[in-house]
Amino acid sequence: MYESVDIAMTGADSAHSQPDAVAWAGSEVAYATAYRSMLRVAYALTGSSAAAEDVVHDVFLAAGPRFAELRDPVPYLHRSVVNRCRSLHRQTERRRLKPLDRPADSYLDPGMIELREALLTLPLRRRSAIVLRYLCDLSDDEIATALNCRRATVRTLVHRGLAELREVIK
Amino acid sequence: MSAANTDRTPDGDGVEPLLRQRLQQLAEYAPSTVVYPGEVRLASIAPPRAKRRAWFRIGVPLVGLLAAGGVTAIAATGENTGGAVTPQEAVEHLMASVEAEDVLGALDTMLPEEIAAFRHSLDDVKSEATRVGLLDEKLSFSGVAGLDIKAEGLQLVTEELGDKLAIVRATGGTMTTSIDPATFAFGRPLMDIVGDQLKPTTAVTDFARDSVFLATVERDGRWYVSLTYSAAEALRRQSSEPLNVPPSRTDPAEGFETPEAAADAFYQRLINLDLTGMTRLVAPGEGDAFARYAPLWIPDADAAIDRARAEGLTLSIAGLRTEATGSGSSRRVDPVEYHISGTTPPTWFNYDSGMPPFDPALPTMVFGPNGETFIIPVDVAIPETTAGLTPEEFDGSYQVNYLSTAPNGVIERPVLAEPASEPTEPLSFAIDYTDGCSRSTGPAVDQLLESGFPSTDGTLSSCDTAQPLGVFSLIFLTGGLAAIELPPVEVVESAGRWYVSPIGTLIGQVTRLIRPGADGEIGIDSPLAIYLYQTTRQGMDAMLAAIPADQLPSECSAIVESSSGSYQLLEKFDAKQLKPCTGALGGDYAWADVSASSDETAQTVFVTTDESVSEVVAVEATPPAAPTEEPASTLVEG
Repeated sequence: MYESVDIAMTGADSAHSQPDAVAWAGSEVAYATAYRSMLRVAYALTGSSAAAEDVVHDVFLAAGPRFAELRDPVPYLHRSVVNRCRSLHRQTERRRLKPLDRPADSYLDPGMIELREALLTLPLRRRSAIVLRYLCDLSDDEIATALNCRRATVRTLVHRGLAELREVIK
Repeated sequence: MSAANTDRTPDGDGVEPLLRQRLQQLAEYAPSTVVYPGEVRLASIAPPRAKRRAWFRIGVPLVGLLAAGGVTAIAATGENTGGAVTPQEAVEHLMASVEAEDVLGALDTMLPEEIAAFRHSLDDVKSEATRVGLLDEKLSFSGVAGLDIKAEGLQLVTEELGDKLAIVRATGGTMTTSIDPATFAFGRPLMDIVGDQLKPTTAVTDFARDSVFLATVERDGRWYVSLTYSAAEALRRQSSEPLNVPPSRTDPAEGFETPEAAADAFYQRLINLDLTGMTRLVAPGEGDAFARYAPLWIPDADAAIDRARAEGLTLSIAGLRTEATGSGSSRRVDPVEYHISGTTPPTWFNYDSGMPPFDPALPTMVFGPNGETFIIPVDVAIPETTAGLTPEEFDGSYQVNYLSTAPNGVIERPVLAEPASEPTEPLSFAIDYTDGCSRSTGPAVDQLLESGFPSTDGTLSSCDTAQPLGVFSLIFLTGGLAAIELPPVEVVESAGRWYVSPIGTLIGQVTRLIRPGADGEIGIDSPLAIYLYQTTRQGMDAMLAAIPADQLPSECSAIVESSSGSYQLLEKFDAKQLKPCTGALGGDYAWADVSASSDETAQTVFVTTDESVSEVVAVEATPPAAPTEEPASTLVEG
């Protein structure tokens, strides 16, 4: 099951109020750890630093009140990050926006660029399953929760995603 | 993150460790700047999701009901004489009516043919909703109490799409929607069930950030807002199809002499997957948007159907008998008997997930509820629970099966029984529908059940539980054999001929959703149960089946009976007692976070407890919309 990032929200009233600094008191390290972890997930899903920052910022902004209800917020964060990336993907497609900015190629070696581009060719659900499995090391159950699907579907998504990435990885 | 070792795909050719390593390397390029809560712009925060979800659950029926009442009132007072001089003015009138919470005024801006189509079928929706207690009779459609909508700084832009068709896009301004359940005319039975979850809620849509549009159509020199054209145009933009919509229907509407003949043609063409032929059946006027836009997607759909046929898909229907009810210029036609037969492509049963099947020749590792592990030797039967087992360390030196446990220690069985072999030839099936029940048989069904398709009695059958919109999943082959009941069809008369009413058929499906359970109430057997209680009878029975004897929470004792050593829900009980029971079964958080999802074959209910996420598969219920992060809006997104 998920590793617990013990973000100790305080105060029952925070369930439906704005996030505030007091609520996070004493858990700054845990907050930062969770935040950076989600940045890595969002970056792998979008291939864009700017998009990843936006996605995670929005997730934590919206999640603030929710944390008071959750003993272990990480599954919720994973699900929210995937949902936000999906919304971003839809908006980009729907409005025919320019593709998300990608880091200058000089920062990445050719193998990394190839992996990033190959990831981005995968359908988002398949891409999400791959990232949650191999970057976050989640189990089928945990991925199923994040993607809101059955465990059997997770296995299919991972298997097909892996098959598509196999040549690039090798 | 720590590795969780249940149900992992094997490493195979060593690609997985390499992918894991390279993904970690790629993620090193991710930004690392943390934004702390104190740095967050508080003004832009969205309303709490937990509250919004409660509204979403009832929002769809509510919109339908509001429209129902308004249309009924218009129908009683005569023809719609609304419209506007320009497309933008039509939308401005609509927004003004919406701001005044004036449903009648809003409908006055809509296309007359669409209002007429609504009129034919929405009376039943409203009366049914009032009867079962979703709405109170005091609801007034000329000024909806408890609902406050305010638009500010609205900026509209008109885009011509072609002959007598234009969209009006909101590019700036905001719309603030506030709902106060204390003063809104919800029915008392509904408030008894979910009243404590409904709090005053405000949502803000910023059109500068989330641009939306409505389509408008010109009729006899006046412009009207059209919901069907708005939906069709939104679909076109979403699928990035070019704007290549003919100015009128390319094929004339095909009418029939009797309601039954029109419905028979619909069912025959549905089973024949004749999409072009189905398009010709839709009624003139209300179906024009459907008929004009459908050719954009039909070639791709036909190509997919042709591929499936080449792989072995066949479908035919025989012995179709229908019954028409209603009066005037509309009828509802129900199929009462039919026999569908065919074959499915072997590729529909491709289980190659990369996962090894449960192998009885291997020892089994069981992950306990507290993180401990147990090893069950090959020659020892796997017990029902972890009680009495001794934890052991596992050094990974030999292969094992993996099983997890529920928080109460019950050992979970493999959910998906991997078939020994996959078919290589098309498999036949037959679906017989009679006396309100359908039963599917044949090798294809056997294969489906063997692969783990959920079934409560070892067969594939259902009685009057076709999913709303199931007809569309059948059309697009996404439902497969799950859509085993043909839906009723609404038909309308125009100039002496009968046609299929797409709006009426769609609303008819909503009516089925609002329909009460067998006991006449919105209890656990109502199609609305999944929205109101976040579970179904099947889901509850599946959860109860995992409860060991004598460990039933006391909160459930009033609604549960024991039979043959297992627990199941009583046939009839007070629905208000469900919440404490599900809370006790799933932990303090379970009631607030029971979620449902649907994939190609079934609905899955996830019960999130403090300790774990357990999965319960339920059949034949309709899940709520998947959570989305996008803001709520009454307009069609563009």
